[in-house]
Amino acid sequence: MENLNFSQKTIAWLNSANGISNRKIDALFNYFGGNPKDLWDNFKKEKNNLKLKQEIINYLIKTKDDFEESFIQKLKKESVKIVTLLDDDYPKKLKEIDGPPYILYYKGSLSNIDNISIAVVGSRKATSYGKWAAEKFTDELSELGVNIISGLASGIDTIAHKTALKSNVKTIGVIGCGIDIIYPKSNERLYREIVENEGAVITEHPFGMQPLPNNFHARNRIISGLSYGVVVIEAQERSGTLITAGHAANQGREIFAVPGNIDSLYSKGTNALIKDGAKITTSINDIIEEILELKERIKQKQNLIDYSTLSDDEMKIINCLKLESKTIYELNEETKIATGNLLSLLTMLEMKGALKQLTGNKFIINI
Amino acid sequence: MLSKIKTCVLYGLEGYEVDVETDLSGGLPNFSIVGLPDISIRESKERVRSALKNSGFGFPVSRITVNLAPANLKKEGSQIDLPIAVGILAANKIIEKNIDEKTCIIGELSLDGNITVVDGALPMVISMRNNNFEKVVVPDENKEECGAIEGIDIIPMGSIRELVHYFNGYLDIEPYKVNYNYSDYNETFQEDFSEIKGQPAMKRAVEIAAAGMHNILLLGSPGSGKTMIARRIPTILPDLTFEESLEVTKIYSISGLLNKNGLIKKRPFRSPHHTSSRVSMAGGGSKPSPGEVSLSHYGVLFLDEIPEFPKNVIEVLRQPMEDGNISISRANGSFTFPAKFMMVASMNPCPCGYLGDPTHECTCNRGQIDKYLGKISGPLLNRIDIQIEVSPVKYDDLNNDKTEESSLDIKKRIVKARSIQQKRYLGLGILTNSELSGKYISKFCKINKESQELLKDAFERLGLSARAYNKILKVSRTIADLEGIENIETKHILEAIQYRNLDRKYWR
Repeated sequence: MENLNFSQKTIAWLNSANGISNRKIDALFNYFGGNPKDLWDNFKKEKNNLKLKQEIINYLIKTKDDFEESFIQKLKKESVKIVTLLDDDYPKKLKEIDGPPYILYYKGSLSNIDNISIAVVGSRKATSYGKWAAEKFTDELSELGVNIISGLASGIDTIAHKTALKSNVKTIGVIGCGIDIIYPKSNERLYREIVENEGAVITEHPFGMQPLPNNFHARNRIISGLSYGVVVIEAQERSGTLITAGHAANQGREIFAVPGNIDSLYSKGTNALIKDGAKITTSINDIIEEILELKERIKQKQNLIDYSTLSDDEMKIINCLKLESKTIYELNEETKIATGNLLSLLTMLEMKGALKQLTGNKFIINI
Repeated sequence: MLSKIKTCVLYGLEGYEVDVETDLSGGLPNFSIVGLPDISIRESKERVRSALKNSGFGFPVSRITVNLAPANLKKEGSQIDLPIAVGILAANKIIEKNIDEKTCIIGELSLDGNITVVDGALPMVISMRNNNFEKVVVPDENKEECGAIEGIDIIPMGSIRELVHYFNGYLDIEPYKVNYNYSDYNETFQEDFSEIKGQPAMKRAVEIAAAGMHNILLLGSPGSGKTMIARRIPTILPDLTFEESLEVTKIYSISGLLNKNGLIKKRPFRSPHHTSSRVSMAGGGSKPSPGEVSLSHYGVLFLDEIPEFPKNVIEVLRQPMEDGNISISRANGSFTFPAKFMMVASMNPCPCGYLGDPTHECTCNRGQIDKYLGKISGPLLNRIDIQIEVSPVKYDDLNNDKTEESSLDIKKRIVKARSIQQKRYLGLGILTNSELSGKYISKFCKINKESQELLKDAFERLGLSARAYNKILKVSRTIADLEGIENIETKHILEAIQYRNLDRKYWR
């Protein structure tokens, strides 16, 4: 990033103070009537009415003048970009939630962020069942071309990211520390791969922020906020994963809980979610069913058959089948195409996805 | 006073030369047969005694010893009656002239001295010809089946009296010859393809199956015409050639299923009931005789409602379907019968029969259906090249008087396709496309790059199982042959894929 706009500068500056929460930034903006310029110019004057801790005010005033230059340098050094709530390219889905982060630091690209995204989350200590389920669902979701969002933690998160990379879809990791800190260290390579594959690693925390327990709480709201739905693979009771699910519920996102054995420690959380009304998820269809946009997408995919590429005889068959399903005999009668030829045309059409075969030797148009 | 007569016993389809040595000597009157005779031969003592007496020759009052050589071979069959009687007559000098070494005698006796029909005369005569015999005496009733054999004189004989006169030179019997003129022979059937209304896809599949001798599985609700079409398959198959006919007649001859018309000219159609046992299907018994698989050699083996057959009965089909013959091993030897048949199987889609039927509701649950389909094992499915699903005929179709193609028209096309195949596989020991395996498939079923891509695509998109690959190639070969086209084209492959639908829909 070469330079910052005014709101970016202001928000980044506020955010850089250790200990200032997103809610505080929100309060400050409200105080100044939502005008970043006002905030920037009059901060010093109003400093005692802002209900901020003295050390934060001191830090902010101290760093204010040199902030932009040193900040841009840091961004360049780490090749990090930022986007703020006031920018147009801020993730639309995230804007909808209660208390969206004012600033997002990211590596990689956000150009695909408004595509349908699904979060796949779960326990850090995954069982083999959990690993299998994570891989299965991520893989099947990838086939639908959705973004996979997760938390770049070990366990289920890692598997979700890795599977998405393997299936060549964009994956987004939301972390609970500064963008310049890699946690856990073992995921350094994964971190790099996500960025290289035009996915993104995102955080709302300023440079140098350590992975403190509290940060993860806040991070989880971004994971669910960015997604259309959250697939919970395995979760223990009272775990961060359940917090993500809680956020998702508050944000009106669908929660898909993968059931597990009732004696498994790692499925207690997911089973509890199911008890509380989360969608019990045993196949990809359970997910597709609940997300309107996915359903639409599948429909569109199937409608992609370009009828103009079909031959005359093929069109004859399609026209015959427009109203109802028919047997080969009926098709034979109506199209007057010789049986042998008809059979090969039907195979061709089926391969093109234009029609389907039913039991009872019937054919139907694929809609 | 010793005589030596040549006769023949059968092992499977193979005849073995046996010497009947008869010795008359002084001492207490006695009649004994040695040399591993079975019960039917021991009993022949009584028949021989009465037959000789009633023919007016009298039974010699002396010690009679009959030895069947070689002594280590078990002998079975009533055809030894006559040679024993002739042996006694020769030893007793009633037949005065010497019966030479190149004459073989077979026949059963009745008490009045007449010679009656025996089972397996044809294979015996063929084996004896191959053993360089010049003349064979057969019962009069067996002359039609044996008359077609070249290279050996067939002397039909009605009674012992006639025989004695013949060998003594008072009676001349011309060798019996039958000339089968295959070119003007036309088999007539009661059924015809034109009786089947509608069902073009089923007819097409059956035509392809018949053209390449492919095994076919018909799956459909009751009333969709599965049995009807199966029974008409023989009407579209090419006529048996002379060699084929001989081979089929041999099998029927040893099974005692021949009527007096001589060689069998109709392609066999066997439809064993599903209560058939394993032995009746494969062949066997203490004296192994051919089973249904061999009786349908060069013809059609129709298994109606195949899931109703016990699993062990169905599984015996596997070896013959692969090798074209069946080997039966018993305590007293191993026998091989030919069994090159076209299997036509029919079944319902589910136990109640109405899965996918437009007018009836299916009342089966998934488990029942799976269990039903599970009765057809993978290895068996593997050997079925064409599978099709048939749907019930509509009333309108039954009632219309549109003329359908007759069996004769279809047969013409099939004969043409078969002759293309025969030409192509000349000298390879293969007659039809269905017999192609491994290296021959890659040699004769070459497809171009475009078709290869398409087939690969089809496998992925349509979820075909791997076992389908070779079947599709073989069936495409037959479709191309039906059209008289040398190279397999894309459209042939596309059509062949349709005949693997059940794999996708039912057996995944």
